[in-house]
Amino acid sequence: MEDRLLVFRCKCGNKDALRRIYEKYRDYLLILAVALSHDENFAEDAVQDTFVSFTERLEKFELTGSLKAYLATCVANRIRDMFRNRQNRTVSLEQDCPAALDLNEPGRAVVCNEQLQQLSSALAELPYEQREVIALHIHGRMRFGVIAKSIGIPVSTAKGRYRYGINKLRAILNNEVEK
Amino acid sequence: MSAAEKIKKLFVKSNVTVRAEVDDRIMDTILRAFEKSKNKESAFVPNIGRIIMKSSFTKLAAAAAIIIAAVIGIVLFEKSSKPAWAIEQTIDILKNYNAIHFSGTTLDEQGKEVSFEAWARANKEQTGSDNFRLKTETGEIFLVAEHSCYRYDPQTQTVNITEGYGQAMGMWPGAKFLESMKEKVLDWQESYATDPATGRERVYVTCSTPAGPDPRSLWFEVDVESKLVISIKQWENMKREGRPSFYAQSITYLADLPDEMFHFETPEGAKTIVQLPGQMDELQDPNAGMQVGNMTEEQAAQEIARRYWQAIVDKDWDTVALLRPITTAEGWKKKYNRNFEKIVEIGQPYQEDGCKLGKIVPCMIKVENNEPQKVNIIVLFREINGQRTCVIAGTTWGSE
Repeated sequence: MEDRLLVFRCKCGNKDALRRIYEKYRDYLLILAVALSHDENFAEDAVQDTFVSFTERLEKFELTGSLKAYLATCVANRIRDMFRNRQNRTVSLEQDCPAALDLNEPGRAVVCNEQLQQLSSALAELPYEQREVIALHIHGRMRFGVIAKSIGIPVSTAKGRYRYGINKLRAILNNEVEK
Repeated sequence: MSAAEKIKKLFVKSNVTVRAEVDDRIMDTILRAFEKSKNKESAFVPNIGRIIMKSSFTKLAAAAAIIIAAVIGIVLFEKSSKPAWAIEQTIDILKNYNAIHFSGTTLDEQGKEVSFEAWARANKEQTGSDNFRLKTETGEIFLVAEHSCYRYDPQTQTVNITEGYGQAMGMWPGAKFLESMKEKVLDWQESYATDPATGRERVYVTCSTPAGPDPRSLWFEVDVESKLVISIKQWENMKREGRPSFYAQSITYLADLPDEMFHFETPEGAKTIVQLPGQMDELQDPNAGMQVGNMTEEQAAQEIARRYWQAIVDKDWDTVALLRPITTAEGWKKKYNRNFEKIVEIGQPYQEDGCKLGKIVPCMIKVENNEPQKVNIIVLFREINGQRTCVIAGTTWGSE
């Protein structure tokens, strides 16, 4: 209910409500974005763009489900678009991720903890389509039906991507443990 | 541990820290987009109705206008020289609005000032509100909808649901209330000023009102152009002394509000306690109330109402507290600190749909220096230790 009130107040021109939405979901969306992109700059841009786009569309925006899920889907879509744009210019999605996050790099806008770095590195080994479904399902707590609808794929495909991705992660995570 | 569980665990333990300047930059970008979208010609007009007053800037400017007017004596003029506003105009305009949003401050039980934001929707007759939502700065939520009252206390993480506890606001600040107020208020005074920030004319009205037995005085501010009341202060005394018990700094008038505004969603992790109003501890005190004996419920309801008002007229506070045990004799003495002259009429009891408390007894009471007031008494019947008794569970004040 709070989200509905916040959206309503935003639509009425209340800046504090918009700030509250940003503060409420910023970290959650950043974690999702870092996990999906394996790049804090990408992540920061995606979250900012998501909020700007949300703000610009407020006039016609109707909240029909969860605002959290809506924003998460927007972030995932944004990152997919960013990858696509970059892919068109350079190489494939899978090879497009930076090698690793460097926690010690000075002056970074977004600093990730060790777990997020590990998570992001593991997910970066997967094709984007698989990590997207895994992140939205596990972190976003979205059902496969909702994910499938938001991405525009059949539910069975979403489930398949999740299953393949998890199988690969099993091997990746086991290797990391062995190392 | 499965791969999915490992990933889940990593997500749970994941954390990000955003540098403050980056955070500010992002927020600035978002707010610029917000301003830009607001300034578009097709800026949002909610499909639920037209918002007349929503700018906090206007409110601040109005407050500033009062101060400036006092200091340098800017354009102040008497009502007689420029009758720019009459309350009838406001009454006329208010008939179009069934909902309001207001924010401001109120005093809690300890006298501490608490900020709040509230939404309310009028009943069909515009005499009270069917739906009401209030949220305080400390996160407390008070919601009345579908004849139930929800209170969420964030400190104890508890939601108390009182079923069958009806109307949220005894009066609706609409046309009917103003009409009644216009007839009954005392020492009505108007002063006019121009808001230097917006150039808009304002009327500042002070008065005291005998809307019920409690002494009240009011200050309110009217925007001359829209004819709407844009802020209100209320004191629990006749002379506007001390801090106002209620201050609506900003009021927005709406044709309606969406139903979802009045749906209560239990916050995550909160425990819920459901009770009927009659189950409140105070109302279950076996020593309180009046024996029903051989009387019918209608007769008993009328009798307890008569005894209650007579005790108030006689200033017999022990009897008042016995019949209406929600507070002490001292509490009632403090509350009813005006002279109640007499009982004019005790009406026929009736049962109202949705009110699970009990029978309602309409009463007419004469308070000193006032016309008789209508007050509804709610009588709750109980069966304790084999004895059928009744207590007064509440009242509703109205100008109907």
